[in-house]
Amino acid sequence: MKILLVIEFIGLTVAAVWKHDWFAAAGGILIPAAALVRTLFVWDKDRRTAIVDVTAVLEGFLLAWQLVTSNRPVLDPVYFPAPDTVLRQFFSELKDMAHGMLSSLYLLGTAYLLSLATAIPGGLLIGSSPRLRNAAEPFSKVLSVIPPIVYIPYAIRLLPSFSTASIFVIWSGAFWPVFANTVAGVVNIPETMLDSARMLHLKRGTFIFRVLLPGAMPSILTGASLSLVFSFLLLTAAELIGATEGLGWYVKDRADFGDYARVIVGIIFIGLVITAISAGFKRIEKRILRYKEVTE
Amino acid sequence: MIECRNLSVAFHGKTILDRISLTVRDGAFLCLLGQSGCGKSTLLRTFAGLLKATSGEVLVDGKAVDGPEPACSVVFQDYSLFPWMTTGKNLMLALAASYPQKTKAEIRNLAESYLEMVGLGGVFNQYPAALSGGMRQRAAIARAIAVPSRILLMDEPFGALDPVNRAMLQDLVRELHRDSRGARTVVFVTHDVDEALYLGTEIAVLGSSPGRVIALEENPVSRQLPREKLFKDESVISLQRKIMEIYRSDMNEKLNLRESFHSGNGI
Repeated sequence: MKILLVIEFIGLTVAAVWKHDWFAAAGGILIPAAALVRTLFVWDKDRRTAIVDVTAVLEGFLLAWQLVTSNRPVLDPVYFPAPDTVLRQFFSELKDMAHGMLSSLYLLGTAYLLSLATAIPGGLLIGSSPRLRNAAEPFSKVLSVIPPIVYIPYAIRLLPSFSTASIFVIWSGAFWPVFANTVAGVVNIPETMLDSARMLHLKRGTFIFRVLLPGAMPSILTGASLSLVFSFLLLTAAELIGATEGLGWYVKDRADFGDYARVIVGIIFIGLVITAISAGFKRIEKRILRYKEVTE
Repeated sequence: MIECRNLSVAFHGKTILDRISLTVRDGAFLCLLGQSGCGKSTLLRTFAGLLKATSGEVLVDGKAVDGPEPACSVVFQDYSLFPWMTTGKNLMLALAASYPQKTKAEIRNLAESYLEMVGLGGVFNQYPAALSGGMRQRAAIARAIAVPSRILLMDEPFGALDPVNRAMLQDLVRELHRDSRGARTVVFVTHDVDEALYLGTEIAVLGSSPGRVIALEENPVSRQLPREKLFKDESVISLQRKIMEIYRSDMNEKLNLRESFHSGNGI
C-alpha cells in the first residue's frame, strides 16, 4: 500500500506540475505529506497502517478522477468537472456555503433540540407508568411509521413561514426515535436497581434526574443519534422543496443553473458538516457514558 | 423488630409464600435459608415493602409495612449501586435523602468515613464498573449502614463472589452487626448452609413450592467462636447435620412430587 501511495503521489504531482495546476499539486503533495507526518506520531502499528491505507485510497480516487476529467476528458466536463476545478470552487464558495450552513444549522438545531425537549420528558413519563404506556402504544405505533416527508406540503401550506414548517417536519421525524428509545430505556432499567432506588426514599425530582434519566441514558443516546440522521435527511429534503437559503437549497439552486462543479462542492460540504456534527455527537455520547469504561 | 403474620404472596395466581408467620427480634441476625426458587428473596422484598402481601401482614416496629419501608435498608446481589455515579456519589445520594438538613460538605465527609469503615478508603471517585465484585458489595454495604435505618436486609449479597472475598465480607458483616448503638437487626438470605451457620444467630429454613418456614433454629454460639473453631463445635456440627437433613427431605419431597406428576397420580 505504501508503494501504491508513492506511485500515486508521483502521478498526481507530475500531472499537477505538467498542467501548472497548483491546486492539484497541493492536493497531491499535501495530503500524503500530512498523512506521513501523522504516522510519525502514531505508535499503534494497525492505526498507522490504516492511515496509510486510507490516504492511498483517497489519493487513488483523486488520481482516477483527475485522469478521466482533465487533458483528454473521458467524461462530459459539464457533468463531471475536474477535481482541481471543484477544489478551486470549494474555496471560493466557502463564504456562501458558511452562510447557508448557518441557516441550515439554525433549523436543524431548533428542531432537534425541540424534539429532545419533548421526547425525553414524554418518554420518561410514559416509560414509568405501565398504564400510560398501554394507552399510548396504539397511537405511537401508527403515528411513528408515517414518513415525516409527507407532512412537508401540508406543513408549508399551514404554517406561517418555511422555517416553522421545516422545523415542524424535522421535529416530527426526530421525535419518535428518541421517544421510543427513552420509553425502552426506562422499561429496561433492571428492576433491582429501581428497588434499590425506592429504598433510598428519594424526592421525586431527584429520582427522575439521578436515577430514571441516567438509567435510560444509553438508550436515549442511541435514539438521539438515530434522530440526528433523520434530522439531516429531513432538513435537506425540506430545503430542496421550499427553502430560499441553506445547504440543501444551495445544491438545488446550483443544479437548476447547471453549475455541477458547485453542486459537487455543495455535496462535499454537506458531507463534511454532517461528519463534523456526528463526530461531535459521538464525543458527547462518550463523555456522558464514560462510567461504562472499566479503567484498570 | 419485624413480625409477619400469616403472610401469603402470590403472583399471577401462583402461591410463592404460604401463610408465613415469623418474628425477627431487635438485634437478631436471621438467616433465611432455602433452595433457589423457594421464595426467600420474595419474603425479604415483602419485609422491605417492595412487594405487597396477598394476604396477612408485615409489621416493622409495630407498624404495618405499606410501600418501601424507611426503617429498612437493602443490599442486593447485583445492581445495588447506580453505575452512572461514582462510588462516593452513590453514598452521598443516600445520605442526602436521609439527612436533608446536613450540608454537602458534611454529607461528603460522612460518605468518606463510611467507605473507610468498609475498607474502601481510596475509591470515592471511582465508578462501580472500575471496582471488583467484592469492592462493589462493600460499597453497597457502606451505603446501607450509612443511612439511619436499623434494619438491614441482605438478598444473597455474596452469591456472586469468589471464596476469599466471600469469607472477608462475611467477617465484615459479622463485625458490622454490632456497633456503638448496639446490634442491628439483620435478615440475610442465602442458600449456603455454612454461611448461615457462620452469620446467623437464628436460622429459618424455608421449604419450597410454596414457600413456608419448615424449621426455625437458634444458633447461639455463632458470635462466640471464630470461624475455624465454630465448625468444630459440637452444637454447630449437629445443627449443620440437622439443617442438611431438613434440606434433603424437602428436596426429596419436591422430586417425588415431580415423579407423581409424570405418572399421572398428581392433582
